[in-house]
Amino acid sequence: MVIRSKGEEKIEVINVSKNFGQVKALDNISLTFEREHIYGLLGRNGAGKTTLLNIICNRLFADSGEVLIDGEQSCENDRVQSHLYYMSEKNCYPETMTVRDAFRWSDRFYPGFDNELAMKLCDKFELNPKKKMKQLSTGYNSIFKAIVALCVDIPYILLDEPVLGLDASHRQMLYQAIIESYALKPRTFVISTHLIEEITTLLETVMIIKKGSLVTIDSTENLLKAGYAVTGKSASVDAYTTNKQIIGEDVLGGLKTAYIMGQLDRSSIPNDLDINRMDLQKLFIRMTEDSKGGINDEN
Amino acid sequence: MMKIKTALRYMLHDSSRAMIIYYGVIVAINLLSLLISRLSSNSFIFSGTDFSSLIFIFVLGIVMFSQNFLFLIQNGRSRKTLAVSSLSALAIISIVMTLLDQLIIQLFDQGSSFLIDSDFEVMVYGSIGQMDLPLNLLNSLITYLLIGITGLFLGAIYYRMTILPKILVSAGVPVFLLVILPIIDYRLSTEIFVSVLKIAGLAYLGISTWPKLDNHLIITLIRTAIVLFSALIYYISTLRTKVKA
Repeated sequence: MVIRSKGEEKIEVINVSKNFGQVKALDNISLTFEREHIYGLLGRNGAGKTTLLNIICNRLFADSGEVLIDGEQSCENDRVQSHLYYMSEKNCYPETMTVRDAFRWSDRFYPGFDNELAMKLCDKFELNPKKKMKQLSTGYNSIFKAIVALCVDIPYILLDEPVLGLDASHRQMLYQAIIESYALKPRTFVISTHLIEEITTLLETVMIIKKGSLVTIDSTENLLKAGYAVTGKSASVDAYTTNKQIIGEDVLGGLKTAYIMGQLDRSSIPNDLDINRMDLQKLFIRMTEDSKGGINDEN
Repeated sequence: MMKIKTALRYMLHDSSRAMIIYYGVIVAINLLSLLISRLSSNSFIFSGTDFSSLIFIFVLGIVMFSQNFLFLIQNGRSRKTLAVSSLSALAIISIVMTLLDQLIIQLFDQGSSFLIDSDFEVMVYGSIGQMDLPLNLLNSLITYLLIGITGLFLGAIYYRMTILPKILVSAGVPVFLLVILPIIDYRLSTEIFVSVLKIAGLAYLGISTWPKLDNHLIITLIRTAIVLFSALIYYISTLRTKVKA
């Protein structure tokens, strides 16, 4: 038995790089997932989120760098790999396996699997446990995998697009189930999704990846406080935003909206400007966009 | 060790259903042939049990890799565990199949079969019944293992390939072995093709036409070494396999 100090109980990604041919999927990225936290791993399509999760879970190999789970190398390490469950978009269960059998085997591979909760969740989501994997729709595939993820008794749960194919009602039910599961048994959840607005309230810490590099890592609260949007006539907005950190701009006719990172000083705001807080989605869009202009722009 | 045990248990469970169906069919065919020979005046014996088993274990090996690889990775098991547990599962399946096949052959009085008391035995030992039963069973077991590991290895390398290399290998290897090599032999008056056949015959079926290797114990030892070497090659081939998107 390996005894570990509390400080070692985390997932550490250290200087990891990964290329697919000429494409740089991860560029010397370093980050840490602490125990009993809910993380949001955000990034545009192709930003490298799934590649990162695949490397952590030993599905892909990093070209350089390393991943430590609880202080041990994660690559080809059964002991630490059994401390995490990765819900990927790809269904890795045999097509002819039934949902019930999958639960049974999850219990064997992850001792302490909560079969009672799994059956309750099946009932709640109306997932027939007698169904085979190949009979599940995209939505029910996600539900099945999410149920397994919530019922395994391990410290790290990684969810890649957990609500893929789910309707609004099922999405809400799943978020609720994650919150309840976390409240009952705090574990580390890493959630990678494009539906940012919906999960904002769920996340404690947000990590934003752009083109394989970590752009931001901060608490959701700090991030939401850190950005605001200023709208008004172009000249007024330009005058106000001088010497401020602008992360994006929208121009419509004579009106301009500037998105600014930094503390808002309400006393210095001119009367002709509107100030709004940015939500996480807007902040994400602004932080990850390339200045390529709109589709009607000539340049 | 527990990690390997769970993986092994899963693989055996997964293969057991296919084995039950396979042996159900084999027994049914044997019963049918027995019935036909009883009803008609002609003797009708099905004698392809162990040859069918070779095909079965080869296909099982190919399928075993891709399905189990994804499932075990999903459940936090490494490639090393996959390799060790799939080789262990194959060894257990081969032992069970060797014994079952022998039982079926004896039960249904299949006088001549592919591996045991076969024409090949005549080729190696001069006549039928020269090998004692334990050695005979051991040779059958080695053949099953070797064919099964070949299936596992093919499954592993096919999984890593895209469609085009798969087609090229599937068509290219047989063409190279059965067309190109004989042509080279013919044109250059060499014996490359014959040598390949000799090695394959020795490895897979225990047939040796080399005078020095006519001792069945030496042949068994050489084949055991080939099994171990093939297992090592398979083990290495799994280590860098990535999960496809």
